[in-house]
Amino acid sequence: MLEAIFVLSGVGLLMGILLAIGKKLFTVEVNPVFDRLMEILPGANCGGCGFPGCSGYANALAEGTATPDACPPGGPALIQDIGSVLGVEVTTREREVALVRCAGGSGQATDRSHYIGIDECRAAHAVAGGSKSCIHGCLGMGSCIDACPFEAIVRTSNGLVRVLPESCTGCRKCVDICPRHLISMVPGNESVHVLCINPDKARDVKAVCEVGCTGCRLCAKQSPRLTIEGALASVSTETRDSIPPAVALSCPQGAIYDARVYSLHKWLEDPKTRTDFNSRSAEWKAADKAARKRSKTTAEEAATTGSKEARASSGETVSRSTDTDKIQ
Amino acid sequence: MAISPLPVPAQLIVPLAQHIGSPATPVVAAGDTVRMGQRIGEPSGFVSVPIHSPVSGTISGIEKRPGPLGSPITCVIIDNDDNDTPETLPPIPDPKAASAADIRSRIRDCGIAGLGGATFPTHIKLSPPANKPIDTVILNGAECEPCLTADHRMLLEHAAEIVSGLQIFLRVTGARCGIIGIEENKPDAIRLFEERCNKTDIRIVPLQVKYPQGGEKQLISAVLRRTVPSGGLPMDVGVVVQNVGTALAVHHAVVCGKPLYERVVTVTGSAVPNPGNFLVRIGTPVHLLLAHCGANGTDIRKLIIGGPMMGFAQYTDDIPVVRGTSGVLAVGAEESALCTTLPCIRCGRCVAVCPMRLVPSEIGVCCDRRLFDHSGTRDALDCMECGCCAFACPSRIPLVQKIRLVKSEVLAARRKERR
Repeated sequence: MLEAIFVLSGVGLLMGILLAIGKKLFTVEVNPVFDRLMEILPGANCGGCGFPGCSGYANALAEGTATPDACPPGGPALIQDIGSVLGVEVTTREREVALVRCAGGSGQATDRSHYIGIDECRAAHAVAGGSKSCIHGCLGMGSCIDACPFEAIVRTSNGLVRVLPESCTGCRKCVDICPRHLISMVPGNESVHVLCINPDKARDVKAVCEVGCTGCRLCAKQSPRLTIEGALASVSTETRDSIPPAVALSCPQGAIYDARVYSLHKWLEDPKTRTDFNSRSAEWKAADKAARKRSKTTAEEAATTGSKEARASSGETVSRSTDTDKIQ
Repeated sequence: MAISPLPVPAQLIVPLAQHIGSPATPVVAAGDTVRMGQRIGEPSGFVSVPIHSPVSGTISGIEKRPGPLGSPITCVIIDNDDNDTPETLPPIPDPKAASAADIRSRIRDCGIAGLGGATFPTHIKLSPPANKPIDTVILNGAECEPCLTADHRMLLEHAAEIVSGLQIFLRVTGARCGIIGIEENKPDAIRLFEERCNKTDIRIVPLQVKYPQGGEKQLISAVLRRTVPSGGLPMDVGVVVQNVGTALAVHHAVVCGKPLYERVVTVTGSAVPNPGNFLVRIGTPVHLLLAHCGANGTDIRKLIIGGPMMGFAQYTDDIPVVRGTSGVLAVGAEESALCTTLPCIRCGRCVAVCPMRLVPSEIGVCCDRRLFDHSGTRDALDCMECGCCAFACPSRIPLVQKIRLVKSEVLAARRKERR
């Protein structure tokens, strides 16, 4: 009994000493900054920073080869934290979220063929451009959903996908994976978006989708922030002036989405929203037409009175000149 | 089914991208008058060939139209004036006396691209680098796919021109040995060519009838017992493979100066009452071709451009015949029944049939799990998409589509690595 206790505790002691020596001999020097950075980084290993996972980014930060603002999921709070760990001044940058630029669901966009094959956008796109008539439209099979590490993209009931802006961290994984190049990064607090990327002429767009942008330039006339390139409108981010809600209401195709009026969920999925939008749009257009007519008539009135005045004044000068003649 | 010329339609749709490589740039504008064989598209790079007008007439416009690969492509629309006023290049009646460079540039100027279906520009295949000498040219007389009979008919009806085309290939590449591989189920063609070539240095090799016997690598292995290394080209083992249709087109281009503006197309399938082989002008709409064969639009449930194994299903019949259109297949309801995909039962039939000795089921699993850098996808790039695995699969798994996705992902990863 006693022997066993001595032998076992002897073995234990020996092992302990060996482990202690081993630790001293084989210890790996780790930058203490690296450990602290690893604690504060999100740990999602999304790769949005451009480094292989969070440890790669932490390493690069510790070595000073990366900037503190490269982690999209962390947001401004993380940038501040990294700055305090590294002891440097940091500037926060604006939050960006992904946006799927297609609103042509099963009710709006037409299908040209029946696709049978693997449930994967990239594969479907490779087979003659997919089943949709619009070769730019969302295929809705969810390659982006599989790619999103934050579960920030969901399917809609009408065969599209949408990004949940509150969950999106801006890691850009979906941007790279979409075979249609439909997903782009937009400022998080921007409320007006053109939900179409089809650059074709109006006739071709109308043939394939009810809600596609035809490039009619009505929106560009209302706000300088909407620019038209070819036959496609887009919201420029050069200036950040507020875009009036009338821009979305004036769009004859309903291709412009305004987050201040409807939620994206309702806009894409609820057919009632479209009817509501159409009636509001019609109301707005009637009011706009009336206002224009009014302004036109006032302008005409102004023009006519102006010419009268002009005539009167010229008559005056004539009479004056005759007066001067008389004086002479 | 002898080759008969198809009536030329009143309007032709000629795409500017009919070959692998960069599409041609249009050199005509709406309202221009063109002659048959006049250049309407200039090559836009080394891997590119010019496009010629298939008829004489007026250009009515340049616009995007649906193409045989699905996405819309830029096409030149030509209104036919029914005169067929020709414009040919000066003929080279004795190709043996002309220099190889002259012949090569002639082949390019006439817009010749591989007519087996892949449409790779022929002049590039005929200009191998100096460190890879060519000793053999093989003409592919094995039909590329089942159901197609165009190559067989060309062999029988244009034997002299095909031999002349092969001799031009031999002259350009400097190869000593010319071989025509013909499948054993065409004994008439084998007999004809043996009689014709018995005093020349051209050999006829009868081939076992199987699919894909017409694949480049399979043909080289069957004829010469040489194996093309993985990721390599036939020129790595000193061989150039050309289709018999290409040989015929090259003969016409060099000896007669005639550009490539027509080709032989097989029209067949269960929904076609009068199938046949037709000499069709490039740009002829497929629906006219089908109507000529008596096919009724309502009977056709599936339209395939190409052969049954590698062809592309179409959503519209308003597409033009292009240089790569070897066949038009219209099948009825019975043969186009849709089937559901079942799970893989690991029977190994796909592995047994794969002519490239790949493991399609494993590549398919890697695709399902998005493991594009897994070791199972290592040889996926060797796949030539012959379709044998998907055809043999009892669970009807779309293996070729999965392999294609893996291939595109592997290539994308490689491009990223290089950058």
